[in-house]
Amino acid sequence: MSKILRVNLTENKITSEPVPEKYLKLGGRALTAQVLTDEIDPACEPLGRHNKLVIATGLLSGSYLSSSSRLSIGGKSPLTGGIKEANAGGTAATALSKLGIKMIIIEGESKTGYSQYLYVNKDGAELRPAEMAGLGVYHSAKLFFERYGEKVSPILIGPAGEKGYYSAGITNTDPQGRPSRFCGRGGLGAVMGVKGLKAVIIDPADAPGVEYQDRPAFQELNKEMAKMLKENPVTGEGYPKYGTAAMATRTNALHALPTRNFSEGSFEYADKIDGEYLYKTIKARGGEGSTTHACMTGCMIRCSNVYADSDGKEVVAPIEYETIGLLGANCGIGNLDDIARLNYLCNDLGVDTIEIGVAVGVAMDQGVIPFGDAEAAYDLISEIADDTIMGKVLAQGALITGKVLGSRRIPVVKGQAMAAYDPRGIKGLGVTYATSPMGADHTAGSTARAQVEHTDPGPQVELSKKMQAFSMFADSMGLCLFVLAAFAPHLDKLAKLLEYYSGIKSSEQELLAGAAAALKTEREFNLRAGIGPAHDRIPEFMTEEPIPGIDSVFDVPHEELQKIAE
Amino acid sequence: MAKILVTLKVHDIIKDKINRNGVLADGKMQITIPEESMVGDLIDLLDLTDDWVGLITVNKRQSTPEKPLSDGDVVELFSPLVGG
Repeated sequence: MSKILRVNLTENKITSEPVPEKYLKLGGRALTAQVLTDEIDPACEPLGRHNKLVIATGLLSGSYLSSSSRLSIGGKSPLTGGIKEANAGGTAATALSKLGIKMIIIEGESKTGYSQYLYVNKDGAELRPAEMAGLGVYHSAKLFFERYGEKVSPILIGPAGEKGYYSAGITNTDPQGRPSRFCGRGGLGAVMGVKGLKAVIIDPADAPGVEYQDRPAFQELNKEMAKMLKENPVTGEGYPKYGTAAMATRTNALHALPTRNFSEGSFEYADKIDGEYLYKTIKARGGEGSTTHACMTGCMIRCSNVYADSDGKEVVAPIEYETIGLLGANCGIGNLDDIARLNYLCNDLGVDTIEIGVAVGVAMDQGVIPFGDAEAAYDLISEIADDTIMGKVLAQGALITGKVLGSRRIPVVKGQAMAAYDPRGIKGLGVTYATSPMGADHTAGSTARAQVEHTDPGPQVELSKKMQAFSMFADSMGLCLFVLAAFAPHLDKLAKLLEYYSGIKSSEQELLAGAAAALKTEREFNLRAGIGPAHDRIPEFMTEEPIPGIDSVFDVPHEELQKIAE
Repeated sequence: MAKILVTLKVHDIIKDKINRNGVLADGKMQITIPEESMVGDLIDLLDLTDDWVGLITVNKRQSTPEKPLSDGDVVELFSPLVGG
């Protein structure tokens, strides 16, 4: 991938640049971290003109390897005040790779007074007026497909992003055109929105396509990798059939399924929202539903799904574990139909279901609406679109919602809501939440599948450190984390694939060292932004209020947490 | 040798795998095993290799293959899937 597209919105200027030598071996999250470090003042206002948005491909993006074309988006987060990268499946990264674009850097802020979108194709790029401003992501995507054909990949925000709300994500479309593959976390949709940019449309028509240094060698090794995915019980059977929703049975068993604003770790209706129930429901209803679905072309794992109502009509695709955990159990809602409706609403507004699920849970805990009342939750989230004061508060995320409502039980770290793992039940994830430069983000280093005693504080720091490096590695390659279930013992083969694809010669050790270096880059950015070890803390209530059933509090000592950076 | 009775609960793909072998249908069964058996013995009995079992609980507490079993214990086995 040979070029960088730089879009200066202040000057309405678009340039194409060669990729500098220093960025050649970087991809995805590591690339966004380095570019942000090189180009922005970490102390800048996240929603100001000095912040930048970096839309990046991974090092294996566009290749034949299954699950290798995740889209990375980086910027300074309005939620955490620190560096942020969020990534998603979908089609946009592959489309960028076909066009030979390694990344798009969006800088400045529009002075036009109206919303714009960026159209990118083989001939270049152009800013155009976005008459779909204010519309939800589903309607907006439909308009883009009508205009440019079904093969384009829109990267877009909803009304929440346009209004600069901190819970706003950036989505892109799946192979069927659903705009539901969210780079959801950290409020990056707000960064895009305040720049006056509604969407980036990637049109790969007649693109030159990707080049391989050694295509036959890549294909040969790729066959071996595909066999591994197929034969591994997790990637070959578990994810394709039950998806991420299967996690609910595990977190429920570990007392780590956030329930009623993290006051409990197991939920009485867990078996009505878990992977088996989801599978049975979709299967029984038939129609437009599907128990398995690939979020990106060529993915063999196919962990996604299409959820249909009792008439077989599609409601939302997909329903994922985090949404089930946080808009479900965490709000006391134990019905998949309700969760699916809430999921669609959040998607259309362009907000992160994790951040909003936690914010609604906090609001319920403070008595704004009752736990378990799905209709009230729907109405509350709808207030984001209606611009009521409560809607504005909720849209700014869990921390602001909790502060406005006077809560002392706000499950956030560095301003960002926790994912659907209670850190008292899975303490390794608590370490990740506390220490990751990303804030409370499970994708930054999940320890949930490690075979350790999850309530023993002893091994968690070392474990989290290892998983944070693995996550950075995957996020930089453009890989879905799920392939690591099969590929983790074979990182040397991934290094070979990289060599056959792009000519970058490296070893497993070098790739992991690169991941550790990128984490250091992120930490240094945060230090310069004013975020340091003092912020590496789990909320006080979780260190004092035991989770029922296992009487566990988060008790990994703060001084131990600091060993992560060693 | 004396025997003990334990309850086994399995989920999603472990349940599917065992069903393929025609052992149980609804994910729950009672098994009589020799006294002083451990969780690992039960896993071996089910012919589950390491890559199938990611999490074990005994009486709703996380456990390990080395845990000795007692009469009346409830053992749950989960495959190593994670959320996303």
